[in-house]
Amino acid sequence: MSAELDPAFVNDPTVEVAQLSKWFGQKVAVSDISCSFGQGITGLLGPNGAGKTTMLRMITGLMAPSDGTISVLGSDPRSDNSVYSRMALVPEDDAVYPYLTAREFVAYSAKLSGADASKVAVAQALERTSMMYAADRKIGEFSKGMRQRAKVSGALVGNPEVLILDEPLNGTDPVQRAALISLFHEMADEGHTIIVSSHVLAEVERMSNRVIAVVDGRLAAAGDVAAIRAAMSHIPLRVRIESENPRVLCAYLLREGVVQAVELDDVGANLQTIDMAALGQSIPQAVVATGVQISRFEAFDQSLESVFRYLVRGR
Amino acid sequence: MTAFAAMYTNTLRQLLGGRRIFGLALISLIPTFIFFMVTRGSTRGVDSMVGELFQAPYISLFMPIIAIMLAGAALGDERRDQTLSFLVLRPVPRLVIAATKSLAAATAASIFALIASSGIAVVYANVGGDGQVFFPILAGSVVVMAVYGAVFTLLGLVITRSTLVGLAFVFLWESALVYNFAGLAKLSLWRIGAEMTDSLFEASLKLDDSAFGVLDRTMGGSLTRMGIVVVGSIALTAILLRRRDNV
Repeated sequence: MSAELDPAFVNDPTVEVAQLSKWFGQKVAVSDISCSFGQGITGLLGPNGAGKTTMLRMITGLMAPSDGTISVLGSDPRSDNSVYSRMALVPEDDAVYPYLTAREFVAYSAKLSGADASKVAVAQALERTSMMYAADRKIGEFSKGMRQRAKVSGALVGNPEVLILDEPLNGTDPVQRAALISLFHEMADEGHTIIVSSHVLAEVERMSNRVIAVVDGRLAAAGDVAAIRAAMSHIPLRVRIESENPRVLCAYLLREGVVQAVELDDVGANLQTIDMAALGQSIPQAVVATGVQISRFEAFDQSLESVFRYLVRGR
Repeated sequence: MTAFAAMYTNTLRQLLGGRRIFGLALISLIPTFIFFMVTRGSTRGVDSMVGELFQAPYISLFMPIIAIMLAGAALGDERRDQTLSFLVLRPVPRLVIAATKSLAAATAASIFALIASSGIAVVYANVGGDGQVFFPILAGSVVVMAVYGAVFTLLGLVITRSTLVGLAFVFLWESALVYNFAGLAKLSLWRIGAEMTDSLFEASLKLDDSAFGVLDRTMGGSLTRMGIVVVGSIALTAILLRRRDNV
């Protein structure tokens, strides 16, 4: 019962991960992650090198876990090949045959999956990613974004119940990105389970309300994007200010309550704030009120990685 | 069956595409060129010459090189190009993937064996040879392609430089060592094909004994050893594909 309350889990899961770990010699890539995925889109979020791809490779059965268990549609992909007729992976790397046309690639994918490889089915899969215009061109001539869309078409042709996409928006332009996101939403509405990995929070936010955040191979946060955002709002952000008289300026900001800590040095001060927007609004007022000019203002620690590291420490 | 046919066709396209085909066609024509040159103005019997050429370098060097290059690429190119995951994340038994890849490699290599054996047969006929050499040479070559095809499809999956390893195997093991230790002949791959050819050659064309060591040079022996090598290699490839950790 308690698992249902944990935001890392969903009711009626299609993909379940229990105490999953993977280590390569001394290096721990994934550490004791338990979560589940259900119908709709779930974003697997984390900075580069966080363990997302390793986790996805284990979920698809490409890699054996060092510890823990995986279940996809009730089966272990490493011991039951039949599950591959119901799931598909769009890997981050190119994984295409440059000498095939997009149409041939999608048809090949359908035949290998035992899916409908008719001209109509192949054309529909290409149409869904807006690739019909390049259907008879060789994939080797494609841009990165076009190759990504060809790979997505290759996965869609089998109409998989579970679709796993590793950084699918890499290399796509804003128009292609919007079209792919819209396609993922359509598929989610049709009842597919879609797991999308990304290192860009804003990107995941556009695709999904539910996020599993991974940092340093550990589960950093889980739940809806709003909850993650709320968790992030309590993280003190570091700001560097340099001016002719930082002491006066910082005293004003402390009185206003927009900074929580100040560390002065010869040419400026390092500040900590939990409300960057309020600090931004107070700075011009502080300049006017104190008459002190600011020569430098720089915010640190706002990368996703540092935010998630903070969340990991807090768990 | 659809998956098998699709994978077989795609592998043939992969192996026979690009510049590789021209290089291999050239290699396959070298024995014909050599045979043509040595028979010009020679007073020796053409039957003994064709036997010598077949044994070295045709079946002991050129056919293995062609097979090694193609078979090493059958799964090796998929691994290098990161398309192996595209192949293994499918509801297709691993044994089917391994067998299809090995068969496609052997088929592609046999095309060049056909070119090579045809060339030798044409020269042989032109210089007055009266035996039948085309079919025995082709049969032996196809056996060689099958065994090297299966073994090096496996090696292409597990090592990056399977062609280099193959060349070392051919030069160091099959040539240098086996010639000096007759008992090792059973562990030589090209001799399986040579056995087949020798068993089909007419009496005037029979090959020199020295290369065969302890082998009995029968068609049955050749087919049996081919079967063991091919089945064993495909089974091992399937096991490795099942583990998937090198994908």
